[in-house]
Amino acid sequence: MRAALHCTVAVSALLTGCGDPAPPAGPTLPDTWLQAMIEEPTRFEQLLEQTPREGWIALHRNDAEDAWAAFEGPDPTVRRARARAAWEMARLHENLARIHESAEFAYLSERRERNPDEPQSIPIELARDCAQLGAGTEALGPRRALHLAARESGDPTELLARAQEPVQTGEGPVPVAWFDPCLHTTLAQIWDARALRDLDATQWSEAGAWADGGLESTLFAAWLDRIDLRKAMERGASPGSFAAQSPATRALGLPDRVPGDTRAARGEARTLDDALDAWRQRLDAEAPEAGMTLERDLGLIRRFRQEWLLARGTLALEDGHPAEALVFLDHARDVADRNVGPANSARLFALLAAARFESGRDREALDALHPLSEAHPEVLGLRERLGDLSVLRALTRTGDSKEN
Amino acid sequence: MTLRALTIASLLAATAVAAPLRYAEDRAPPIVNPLFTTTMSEARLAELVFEGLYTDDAQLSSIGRLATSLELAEDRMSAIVHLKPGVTWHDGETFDSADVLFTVRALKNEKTASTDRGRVAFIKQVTAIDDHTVQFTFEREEYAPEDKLHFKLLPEHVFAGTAVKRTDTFRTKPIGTGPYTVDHFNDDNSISLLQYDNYHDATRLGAITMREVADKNYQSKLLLYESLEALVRVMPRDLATLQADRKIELYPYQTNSWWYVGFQQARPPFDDARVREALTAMVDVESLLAPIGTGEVVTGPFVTSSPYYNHKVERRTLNESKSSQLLEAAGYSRSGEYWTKGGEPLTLRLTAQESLETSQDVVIALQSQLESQGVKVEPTFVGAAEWKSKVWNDRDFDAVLSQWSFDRSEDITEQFHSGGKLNFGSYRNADVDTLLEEARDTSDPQRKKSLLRDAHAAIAADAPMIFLWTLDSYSAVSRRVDNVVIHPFYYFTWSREWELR
Repeated sequence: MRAALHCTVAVSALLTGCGDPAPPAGPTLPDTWLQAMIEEPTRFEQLLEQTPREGWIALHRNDAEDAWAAFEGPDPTVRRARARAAWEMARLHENLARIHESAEFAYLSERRERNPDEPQSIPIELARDCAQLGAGTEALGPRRALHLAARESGDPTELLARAQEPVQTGEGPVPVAWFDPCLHTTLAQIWDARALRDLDATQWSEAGAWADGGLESTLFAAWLDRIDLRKAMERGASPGSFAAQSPATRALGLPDRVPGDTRAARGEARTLDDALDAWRQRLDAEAPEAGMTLERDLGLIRRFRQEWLLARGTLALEDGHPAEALVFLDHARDVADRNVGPANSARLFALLAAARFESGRDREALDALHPLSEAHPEVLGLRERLGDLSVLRALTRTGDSKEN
Repeated sequence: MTLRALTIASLLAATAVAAPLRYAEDRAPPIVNPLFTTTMSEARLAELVFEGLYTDDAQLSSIGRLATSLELAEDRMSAIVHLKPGVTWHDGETFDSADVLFTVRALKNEKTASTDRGRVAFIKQVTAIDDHTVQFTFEREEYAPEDKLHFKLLPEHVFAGTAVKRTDTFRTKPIGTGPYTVDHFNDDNSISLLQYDNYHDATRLGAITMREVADKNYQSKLLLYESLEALVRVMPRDLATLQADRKIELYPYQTNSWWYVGFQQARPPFDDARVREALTAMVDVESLLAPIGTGEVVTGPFVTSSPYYNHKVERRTLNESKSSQLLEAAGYSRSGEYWTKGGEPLTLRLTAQESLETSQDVVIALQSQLESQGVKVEPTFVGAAEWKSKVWNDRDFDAVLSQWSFDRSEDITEQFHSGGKLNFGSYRNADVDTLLEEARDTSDPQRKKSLLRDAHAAIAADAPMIFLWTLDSYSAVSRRVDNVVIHPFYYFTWSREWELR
């Protein structure tokens, strides 16, 4: 088959090298998307023939929204690929919602604690009601109707168009301006619904059809193979941590997780690096040239590494261990690139912000959110509220500054 | 004891000392006295040697260090602080209330001339109730005074009075209550610290050595070759190499820092805003930044992720026609190589610190840009002592290239208020003074943001500085060091937990 592979078409359009026939390499991570891409690059070529190539280009550069739009059509393979992009967007907004809801609540309650006599025009519980759009969210005024309409139609266009405008409340001479804390909650719900619709499911535990697919269900994911994905869904794992306890990664020799233990987390991350280094060396010697070219051009191992670390970070956050999460997320970030792009996903920055925020590092959470501003201008409201909280918490401090 | 016995004893003592954690600074602090800490390298060292009543816990909330508890009066105008018993200074003397009183009074004493005087401005009076209880009276209501009681304390018994001099012998024989004692200032400018045997809390590193390594490239090499365990700040261009090395880990160390070229506005021609603006319009900041690595251009005195950063302020770009118009309006003409006025070429004496990372690269590129547009540039690189003397004390410069780092309060008052102690460039704008004062006094976070965004815009319009960039900042630490958590400003605050394998 490899002899027939005259030229592999790479997503990045950089892959122009032709692979020479090479002896088959022994399987290391059998049936995983990594192995498929590197050892059988024709499968990738087939995928590009079956699904819109632009979608994979966008997904590779971590532009999930463009990928979702590019994966157009009723074909089941395309729908599974589209679900992959929608899953990514849902997780991004899920994490942003997590921060905004908590920051809103923290800001309002800490401000009230400090100024008990100050009139309150925003209910403290508002953000806690975002998921259900309960009574507390009536303070959103006409914006609440936009949320309801967006959730009903699955189209957030109008909501997004207003995302950078503050919500105004109060009839007095000085109306209070604040940003909609439920925006990302609604966006997460809409993206989840889009993903599930393409998988003919209403919730993730029923979305096993995703695992029936081929490479389109696993490519660029933290779950290495379809079995991992199916098992995670069956055991009711949260979508963000689908691969965090992946059986396939056991082949890499990763130790069992010790929840909340930052030293163990560091050990896990280091073991992962060592295992992937060793695997890469072996592939260098054994894998076909076309596959290794694909690996180098698309940074496949690096991509898996980051995705897996994000899954681990998500799991730690969900378990209430932000310090443990930070270990994984700091490891995941490619520090040579400060923006959202092939090296760092938007979800990485959102998770970093969430972990820092939940570690009490509200000001540093703003640093993590900053790179999202260009690709996701709708984070403005969250940045403003997190900024308010950060300022509030530093009000009682005496500033310090030094040279250099 | 015989000489031989002494030698054996000292050898045994030497072997008993654990291998030190070695970290690199661009410049060794010439003095170790928290009253006169002006640079980040001094602040980091002070964090190892001295302590305050309160410090930050891992969630950045105040937690008692030399204080055990605080009782805030109902009217919030005073507080009683109980001191931790059993704490001793590095010379064995007992820490008590007198030391707290002394430190506050020394900081407040105008003759001390501490740049940190503002940190105790909220204290009206401090009195000792007994040896381990002090009462603070405040200038106004305080909601969380422990947040302001982080300043480092000094031993009253080693000073003759509260007018402390920078040149006092204490500067090289510091005595604190912190986990490490300064053992030696070495000939190679390194500083050796040893774990303080009678420290009142647990600490895991036996010794720490601060090594002065001015060359950032060399710092990275030393770390890669395991001749260092920590590199405080990695140059952005070295990040990829260090991240790829499996013996090293990177930790974010974002100190809200930004670079600038600051003009001396008390002297002509830089007292003329048109000249400053013209020079600003001659600089292509992006191309100055490119060789340094990843960072972001700033338009004013905050980093881009700051809640106070005004994103509506437009970035000044290279604009030769604008600079020409401004200089002509300021009375300059250009017929030959340089812009001239009264026969004298427009000359910028640019002063930079020898040890500021990559400052030479920036100065040379800046010189090239300005010279090509008719401005004569005379760069001078000075050492730490001369910098302090020329810039901090005498304010004798046309322009300086430097960097400010801020803690999370990002309080720029000292740098830009007309009465600010760190306002070396003599910047004056009554409106900015008012904005800064109101921002400091308000208890409304949104109002504070708004005021400081206005201050950003007003300062940018006055062009007291050419605002350059903020760099991505990471610290690199050997994997042999466990439990590393880095304080976002003081770096070593939680180093007691660090462990060297």
